[in-house]
Amino acid sequence: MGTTEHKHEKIVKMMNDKGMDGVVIISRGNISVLNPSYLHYFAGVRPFGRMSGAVVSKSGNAVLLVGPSWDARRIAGKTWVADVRGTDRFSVDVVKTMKDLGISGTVGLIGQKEITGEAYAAIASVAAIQPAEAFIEEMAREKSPQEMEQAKEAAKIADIGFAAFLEFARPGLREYELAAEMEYAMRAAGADDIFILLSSGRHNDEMHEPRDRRMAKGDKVIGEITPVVDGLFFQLCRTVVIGKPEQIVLDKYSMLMKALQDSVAAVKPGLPAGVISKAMNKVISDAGYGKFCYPPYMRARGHGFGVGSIAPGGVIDDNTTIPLELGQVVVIHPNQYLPETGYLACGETYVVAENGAERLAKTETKLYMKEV
Amino acid sequence: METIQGALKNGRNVLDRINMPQGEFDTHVSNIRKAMQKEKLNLVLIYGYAFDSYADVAYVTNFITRLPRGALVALPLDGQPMLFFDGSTRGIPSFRKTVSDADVIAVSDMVKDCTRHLTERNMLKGRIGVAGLRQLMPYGQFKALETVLSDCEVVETNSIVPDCRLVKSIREQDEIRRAGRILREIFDGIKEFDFPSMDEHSIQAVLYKEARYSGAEDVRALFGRATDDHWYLGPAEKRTIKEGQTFSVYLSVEFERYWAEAARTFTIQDGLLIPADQGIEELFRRSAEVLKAGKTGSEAYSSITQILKGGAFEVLKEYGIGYGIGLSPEEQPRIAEREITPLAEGMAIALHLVAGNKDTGVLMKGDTLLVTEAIPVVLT
Repeated sequence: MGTTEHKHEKIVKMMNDKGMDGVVIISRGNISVLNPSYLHYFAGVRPFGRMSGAVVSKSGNAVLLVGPSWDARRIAGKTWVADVRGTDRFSVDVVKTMKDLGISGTVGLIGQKEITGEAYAAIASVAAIQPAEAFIEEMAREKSPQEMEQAKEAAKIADIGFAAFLEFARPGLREYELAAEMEYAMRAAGADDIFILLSSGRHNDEMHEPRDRRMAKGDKVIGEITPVVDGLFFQLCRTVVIGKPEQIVLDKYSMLMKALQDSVAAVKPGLPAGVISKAMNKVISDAGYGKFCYPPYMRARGHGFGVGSIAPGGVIDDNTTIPLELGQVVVIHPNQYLPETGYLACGETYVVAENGAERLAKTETKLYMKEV
Repeated sequence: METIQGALKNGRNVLDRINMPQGEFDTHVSNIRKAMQKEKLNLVLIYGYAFDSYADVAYVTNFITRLPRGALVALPLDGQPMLFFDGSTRGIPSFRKTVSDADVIAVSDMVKDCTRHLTERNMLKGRIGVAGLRQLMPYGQFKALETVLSDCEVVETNSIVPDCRLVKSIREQDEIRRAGRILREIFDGIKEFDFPSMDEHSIQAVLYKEARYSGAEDVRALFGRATDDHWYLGPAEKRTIKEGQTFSVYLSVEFERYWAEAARTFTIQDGLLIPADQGIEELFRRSAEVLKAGKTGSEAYSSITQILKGGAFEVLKEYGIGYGIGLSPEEQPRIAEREITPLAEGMAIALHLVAGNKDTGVLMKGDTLLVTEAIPVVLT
């Protein structure tokens, strides 16, 4: 992530430019594949309590309130913020901290989507709140060398996760047990966390969290294999058929691979990210599945990954106008529901580069089969 | 313990109707309704969020969110509870398999959709209790709901469900017992486990796999290194553990919605994890014996503090001593100063000690206990 001086100086400048007295960056301890982790990005470490926050004044004084309070010990050794305070009553302590730092007037709030009513009211009792997510989004848009290394490491771990998927998928094993094997492989390889969607069946109606269904011969097992390395997600989307796939499955998967190929070819820095979706949907629509390209069947054709920013966004669809930029880490996935086969999963994560999209993982993109 | 939340709950997710039949949830609902009658409430809106704060919603419906999202239960004085969850209608058939008898409704806009349904059923009238909304609901939704309810008589009733959850039923105790058994089997068997390498990520990977195969829906592990100058309990890091090193493992699991936790300290000898006692076990045993029905949380805290005072070990006070555990990994009552709630038979308490001296370094020991009239039963 960007250097600490860079983040600190930038946020102080931004708030002064906007006439704010301070900024509060909050976290509820969750990590989401579709949302950035603003506090993790800013502080350089992820507090895991139900409510933590950084308070920064326009003069540059910064305090990190860490919940649960005992975790302050760990955080203090890992963050660049010198003043780390444990809190088990965030709403009370954020008020005190804002007053200690002389924040009144207007305060920028980062984390508006997740902050609780109680915490919001506490902050609003001291200063007028304005949204300020743009501060972090702007400084986090350019991925640092460290983040790129994280992405490469995560790519290796995702390949390991897929290898486990292929090795262990078999009749009789429950979905959550297969997920357990994939999780084991990825955590042992250094993943801090994993996000695995895994569905099995002759005809999958959705991609869901692993359930207790036992896999059977003839199942298509579809998975989103997503390790997390220091807050950065990375994803592969794969389909493994247990047994010999029917010809129709092979044919439809070839179509999805063409959709992936065309959407990857459309990637160019400066173009709106919607080009990915349009290229993908054209292939699938031309094959006669136009209505299945849109809700309620499909929603996103990809999304960005990052710690402080997930630009070009949590949902890439035809209407996404946010531009693709150099260094963005983006998953492009023509995962698709088809009436003949059910849901099939196909997707890769790329880095947006000068000459298009650069693939990071090594596993071949294809339909896999597991002989039984 | 409030610890690191994952990106997804991807373990075993079931409603075992032998372990938790509909009658159990009917009793839970009846308990809440008795409290509603006392408070003259027509309706209670109960909110749950993400992976640690779902307890009240699950108490009524067994529902939990497996992504970091919210869910709302509308419980009228008569009639079926209504469960609103952030998600799509495609998810409803599978949710019904893991939810007790409730009307399950997918929403894309929590407040708008929930209000529409409640208005259609003429439920937004009279005295309405709200539980967990201010503390857990994202601000935008909270504000919108506040506006919708502005013409109603609204009362904050945040403790209405936690109070019902304090003493666990026999079935709930059994669920915690099952969660505890997973931990016991892991810690008892740990010296036979084959770790791919002796580093925190590898050890954690093995522990998680063991827990998942045993049916844990959620697993949390934290590590502490005895002789680190700056000791802390934290998630797995890229750190190798060398022969002769002593370290602590905190592990909690959630099994069929119920939590248990335990902590042990080990030394690496000949590549195996050997329990490292060094006196903390005896202190722990004496502290656990304090937790008898009738004592308040603060009385128990005082007694335990006396046991720990002046001994060979210095306690790291910031880690606390104990708290309730059940549908939440950390809940009432606390074993802490100013806790006036008396312990009662059937409460589940997670007790831990984090202590050490210059010879041993920092050690940790913890268990989940069931309070009785006599000494507590150890569930882990």
